[in-house]
This record gives sequence, C-alpha cells and structure tokens, in this order.
Amino acid sequence: MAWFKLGLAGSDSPPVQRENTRGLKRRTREALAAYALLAPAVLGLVTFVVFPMIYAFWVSLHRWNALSLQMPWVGLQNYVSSFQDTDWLQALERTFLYTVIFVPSLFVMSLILALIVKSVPHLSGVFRTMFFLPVVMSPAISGIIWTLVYSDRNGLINRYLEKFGIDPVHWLSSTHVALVSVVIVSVWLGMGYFMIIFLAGLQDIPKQYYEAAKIDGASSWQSFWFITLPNLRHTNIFVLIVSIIGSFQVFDQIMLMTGGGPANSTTLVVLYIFQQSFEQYNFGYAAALSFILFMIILVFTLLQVKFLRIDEE
Amino acid sequence: MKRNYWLYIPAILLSVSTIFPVLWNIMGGFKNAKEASNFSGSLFPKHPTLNNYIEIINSTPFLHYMWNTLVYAGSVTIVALLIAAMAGYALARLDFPGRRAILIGILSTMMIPFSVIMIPLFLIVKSFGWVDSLWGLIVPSLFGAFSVFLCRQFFMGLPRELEDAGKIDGLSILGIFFRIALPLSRPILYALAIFIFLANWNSYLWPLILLQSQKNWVISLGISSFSTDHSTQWNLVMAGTTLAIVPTLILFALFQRKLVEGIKMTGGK
Repeated sequence: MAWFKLGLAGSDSPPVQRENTRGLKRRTREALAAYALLAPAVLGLVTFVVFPMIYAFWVSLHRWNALSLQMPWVGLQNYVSSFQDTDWLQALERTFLYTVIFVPSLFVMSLILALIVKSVPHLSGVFRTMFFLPVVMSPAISGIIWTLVYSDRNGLINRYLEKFGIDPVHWLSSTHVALVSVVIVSVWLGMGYFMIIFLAGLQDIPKQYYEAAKIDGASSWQSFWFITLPNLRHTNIFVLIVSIIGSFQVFDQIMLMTGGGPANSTTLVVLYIFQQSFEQYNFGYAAALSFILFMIILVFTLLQVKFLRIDEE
Repeated sequence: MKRNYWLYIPAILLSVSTIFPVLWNIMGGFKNAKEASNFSGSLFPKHPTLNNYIEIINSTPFLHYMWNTLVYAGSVTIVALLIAAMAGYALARLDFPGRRAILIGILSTMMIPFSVIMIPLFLIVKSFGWVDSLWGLIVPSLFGAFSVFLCRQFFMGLPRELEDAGKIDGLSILGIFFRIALPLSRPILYALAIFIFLANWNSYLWPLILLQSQKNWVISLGISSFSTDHSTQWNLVMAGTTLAIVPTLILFALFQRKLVEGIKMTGGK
C-alpha cells in the first residue's frame, strides 16, 4: 500500500527520484519511532537490572561493611570465604532439601488438581475457582495466616488433630517439621498457577488418542501413564524448571512464618543473603553470595531455554 | 464418556481444604477475642462483630498503608503497561537496525532474579535519594522484560489491516501505535494489568528493604508489624489480614477468567 500513497504525494520533482528519497526517509522515520518507543524500557532495564548486575559483581570483589567507609579490594576472597561459611553451606543444603521436597509435591499436586477439574462431571468451574484462589494471595500475608493455622495450641490443624485424638504437631517450632510446613504453604500458593498450565497442556492432547486406547482395552491408569504424561512433555519441563527456579528464591512466606528458625532450620539462601546484607550490612560478602545464587539459577534457566527450543524444532 | 462421580470426593476434600484457611481467617475477623483464638469447629461467628475492624482503623494507620499501596501498585500498573506496550509494539511491527539484538538483550534480563540484584538496587536507589520514599518503590518496578515479551507476542498475532488503513489515512507511526494498536491491545493489557497490580500489591521484600518510616509503609509491612505486636490477639490479626486481602479478593472475583487466560499465555505456548 505504501507505494500507492508515495506515488500520489507532491508534484515538484521527478516521481522516481522522489519515491527513493521518501522511501529512505520513511525507513529513518520508522527507526527513529522504534527507538523512541523502546527508549523507556531499554533505559529502565539497563539502569535497574543490567547495571545492578554488573555493580553486584564489582561489590562482591570488595570487603565492604556498609557501616564502615573503607572498601578494600579483596578479589575473589568473598567467594573463597563462602566455602568455609558453615551457615551458608547449611543454607544451600537446606535450599536443596526444600527444592527436593517442594518441586515434586507441587508437580503432583497441580497435576492432580488439573485432572480433577478436567474429569469431574459437573461444577468443574467451581472447583477450578477454589483451587485457583491462593494464586492471588500475597505470600507475605499468607505467611501470617498460616502462622495461625499452624499454631501449636489453638491452630486450625492441631485443633482438628485433637478431635481425632492425635497429639499436636509442632508445625513451626520443631526443627524437623518446620521446613515441611513451609513447603506446604509454598505448594498451596503455587499449585493453582501450575494447575492452569497443566489444564492448557491437557487441552492440547487429541481426544482420539484416548478413544483409541479405550478400544484397545487400556485402563484409565494406563491411558494416563502412556498417553497423558508423555503428551504433556513440554508442559512437564516448563513446570519443573520454573518451580525449581522459584524454589531457590523463596523468601516472603518463610520470613513471616519462621524468620528462618527454629535454629536456622528454615534459613534458605535468599533469607541468608538478606540477613547478611540488610541485618549484618556485609554488602560485599552478601553480593558474592547473590552471585553464587545467580549461577545456580542460570544453569536451570539455560536448561529451560535449551529444552524448550529442542521441543520447538 | 465415563461419568467419574467418585471424583467428587477428592474434589470436595481438596477444594474445601484449599480455601478453608482463608475462610477461617476472614470469619475470625468478625469474632470476639475469645472465640477467634479458640476455634471450636464452628466457622461462623456466634456473635458477629465489627469491633476488630473499628479498633484497627482507629488505633493504627491501616487505611493509610492501604492508600500508599494503592498509589504504588496503581501507578506502577499504568506506567509499566504503557512502557511494555510501546516496546512490544516496536519489536513486533517496526523495522530498524539492531532489532534482534535489542530483543535478545531485553529477554536475557529475565534471567536475572530480583534477589540477586537487591543489594546494588538498594545502593542505586539510595544514590538517587529515594530510600524511604514511594519513588524508590515505584520507579524500579516499572520495567519488566516479561511484560514487553508478552506485548510483543500479542502484537505479532494482530492482523495488520487496521494499521495499514491508518497509514493510508496519513497517520504517523506513533499515531498508528497510540490511536490504533494500543486500543486494539486492550484484552492483553487488562490481563497484564491485573498481574502487575497483584504483584506490586503483594510485594514484600523490596518495601522491607527500602522503607523505614511508618508513614511510607505499604500494607504488607503494616500488617506484618501489626501481627507481631498483637500476636496473641488473633481477632485483630485476622481482621487486619482480611482488610489487606480484600482488594486482591475483589480482583479475583471480577477477573478470574482474565487471570486464567493470562496464565495460559505464559505457559511457554
């Protein structure tokens, strides 16, 4: 359409040449408009994401306590020290443990909810709505609510256990149980989101597959195992990797339920970095820890990019 | 198709236990002190009362925290949407040198989690003089690579005919974006708006790092300090958390379908 308009415009110079210059100008104008439209996003991301990343690395090469004015260069010393910091190693170990419990539980739970919503004869919309509700809840406020739910004496759960004659569980005050209690809340917060992702994946599996399996006499368990799961491959990878990445960054609900306790049993990496930076003011050291966390997350991000690309090919 | 009526058993058990903590909390806000902290099995208050709410509103600046949060989350939502839509449109529709490089650059910032940059971000915001201010809360939250990406995907799927018509009518490129493309992108912008609003209404870690004086607090800080101070008065804690989640519950009730559609778009599809 553009050539048509250009041909009609103006009349003071030969048409061929004019079309050429107008064409060039149009491209310049398009580029200028594009840069103008992109400028806020690019400048903002550079200032508040990319530059902080570089800055974080630079800070991590210094011994810097925010309470002192001196900031000596220490090279990779902070990274070396992290390997001797037993609290940090313990936080890493606890985070791995958290991930190992959280990711499979979340996966199974979300898939079960999706299958229920998909297969229940009526009211699937109502069930979906109820399962989805925690997604909009603030993790911080959920932490406060669940603190009451988990409370030793009057908490919701222990009250019900009492009715069945079961001894109260020290959900948040026992070093053995607290991490599991925290995982339960994280699963509660995340399962609605992944349920929707699974529902979208389930929708894409052709009905004929199930019908064919039925004719061959497959049980519903068999058709789940041999049709549903393999056909959800793409979705499975997405759910697993996104939830792994998320589990390394959990903070809000833990901070408000246990604050990392009892006896550091729920001090996960971000909580430890937060304590090092904004309670101890060891900015240099905490920045080095952040960078180690980044490397761990980066591995999983790259895995995701790789898997999803292979899937697309 | 086989009717799986037995599925109602796990469906009801799971759905009720999912929402029960929230319901229990909301109902507790209408109970008196003794009944709230001494759950007898009855969800509904025996003597419903609004006293807890009255006490909270009179004794703490709760409404002020909510106002701060609304200003923060509301302004971030509006500006962030505009920034994302502008960039997404340029990447989807316009031809310019460096397009691919800029797209990859923007997408790769998604790999950087907030927890990794919180220290330098604090130092940068401090150098701008924005510590303990709403500015420090708002400005760094305006830029999201994911929103840009979502807008780009949306514009790429939009038919070009209307924009071509605008071109024939002599609109400039920016004119086409603001008068034609932006109004057409309302569906995606609504979904994105709810996500951005919720994320900021619910945010806790950045406000915790940034804000000191109580007059600047957002609701998550207000309620966490309140619940620590009143940890034994469950009726008050429950009323406070209920107040704090009311806006999210309203958004949930009104826009649940949009949220679900939005999530489906994020699922790597």
